[in-house]
Amino acid sequence: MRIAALIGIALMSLPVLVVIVYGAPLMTRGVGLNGLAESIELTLASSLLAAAMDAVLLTPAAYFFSRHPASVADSIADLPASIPHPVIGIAIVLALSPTTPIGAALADLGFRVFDAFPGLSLALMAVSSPIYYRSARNFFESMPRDQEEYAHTMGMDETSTFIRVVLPQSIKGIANSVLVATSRAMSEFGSVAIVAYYVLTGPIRAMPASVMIYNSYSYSGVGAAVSESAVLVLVGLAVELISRLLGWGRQRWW
Amino acid sequence: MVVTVNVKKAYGDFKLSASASMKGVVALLGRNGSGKTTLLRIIAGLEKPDSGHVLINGVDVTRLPPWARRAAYVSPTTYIPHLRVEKHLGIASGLELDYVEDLLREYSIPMQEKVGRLSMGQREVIAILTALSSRPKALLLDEAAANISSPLNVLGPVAATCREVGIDVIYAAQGGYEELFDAVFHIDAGKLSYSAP
Repeated sequence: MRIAALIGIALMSLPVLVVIVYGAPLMTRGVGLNGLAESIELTLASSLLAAAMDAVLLTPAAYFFSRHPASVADSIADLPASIPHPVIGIAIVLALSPTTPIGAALADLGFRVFDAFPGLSLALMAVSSPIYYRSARNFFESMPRDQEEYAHTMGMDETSTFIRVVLPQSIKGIANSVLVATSRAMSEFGSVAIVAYYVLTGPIRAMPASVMIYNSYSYSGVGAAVSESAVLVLVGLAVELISRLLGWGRQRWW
Repeated sequence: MVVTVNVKKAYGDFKLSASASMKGVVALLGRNGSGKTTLLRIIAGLEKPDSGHVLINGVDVTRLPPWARRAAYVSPTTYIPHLRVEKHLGIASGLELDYVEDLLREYSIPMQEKVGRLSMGQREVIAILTALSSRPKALLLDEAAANISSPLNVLGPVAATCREVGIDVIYAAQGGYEELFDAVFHIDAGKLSYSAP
C-alpha cells in the first residue's frame, strides 16, 4: 500500500520535477526571462484579486451549503470546473462585450474587459471559483457545530451567527482557501488566452505568465518556455507552501 | 412559564417517548444514553421530533428555528472560544446579573482571557452565565456544570434568578442536587417519568 501511494505521488509530481530539472540551469543563465517578472507580477496580482473576489462572493454560500447540503448547488458550483475553460473565456467576452447592454454600461463606467486587468481577473475568478467553494465548504464542514447551536439557542439567527461566531474563527481557513484558489488561478491558460492575451491597460502591461510560456514555446523554442516554466513553478510552490503553513493552524479554531 | 413536550423520536433501536409539562426549576435525571440530551435538543429546536409537539409558555414552537424559540441550550462544549470573557458574557445580554463578578472572582476567571483558554469548569461557568444573561424563555442545562467545582455555587444563584424572573430551567444530569429543584423527572431508555421533588 505504501509503495503504491509513493508511486502515485511520484507520478503526480513528475511534470513539476521535469520542469525544475530542465528549467533550473536555463533559468540561472537568464534564458527567456526577459519580461517574465512583469508577467508573473500580473499573474500573481490578478490571481490573488480573483481569489479574493471568490472569497467575498462565495464564502457565505460555502458556509450555507455546508450546513444545508444541496447536491444541485454543489453541481452548479462545480460547473466551471467541468467545462472547457476557453468556453468560459468566450462567455465572458460575449456577455461583457460593449455590444451587450451590460458590457455597454460597464464600458461607459470605464470598465474594460477584453485585454484588460479586470477581464483577466474576472476570467480567473470564474475558473478558480469551484476550487475556492470546495475548499471553504470543506473547512466549514469540519468545524464543530456546538458553538453555532449555542448561539442559535440564545437568539442569534444564521446570518448573525455566521458574522459573530463563525467568521472570526474562520480567517485561517478562508485565507487557506484563497491561496488554494490563487494557485489554481495562476495555472489558468484557456480562458485567459481568449479574454486577456496581453493586458494593454493598467499599471502592469504584460502577458499573463501561462500565455507568455505558450508564446515562448511557439515562437522561441522549448528552452525559453521551460526556463519561464521553472520560475512559475517555484512561485506556485511558494504559494502552496504558504497555504500549507496556514493549513497547519487549523487544529485550533480561534 | 412552562415547557410542555409530547414527542417521539427514534434513532435505530433507541426510541424516545416523552410527555410532560415542566414548570420552574426542574431536574431531568438519567443514565448515559437514556435520552436526556435528545429531549433537551428537541426542546431547543436543534433536533426535530419524528412526531409530537413542543410548547413554550403555551405557544407551539415545534416548527420554529432555535433562535425564535429562545430556549438556551448549554452543554460542556457550548462556548465561543475566540471571545474574551467580557465579550462572551455580553454577546446576547438581556439580563443584569449582580453576582457575575463574585462568581468570576470565586472561580478565578480573568475578564480579558479568551474563553477557549480557560479550564473546562471555568468555561462552563461562563457558558451558563452567558446563556442566562441572554434572558431566554427556558434554560436547558445538559450536564452543563459537570466540570465545575462546587457547582451549587453557580447553580444556586442561577436557579434563584430564574425563579425570580420566570425562566424555566431543565437541568439534565445523572443525579445529585435534588434539593435545588421544584420537580424531578427521570428518564430511562427513552421513557420519561415524573417523581415528586
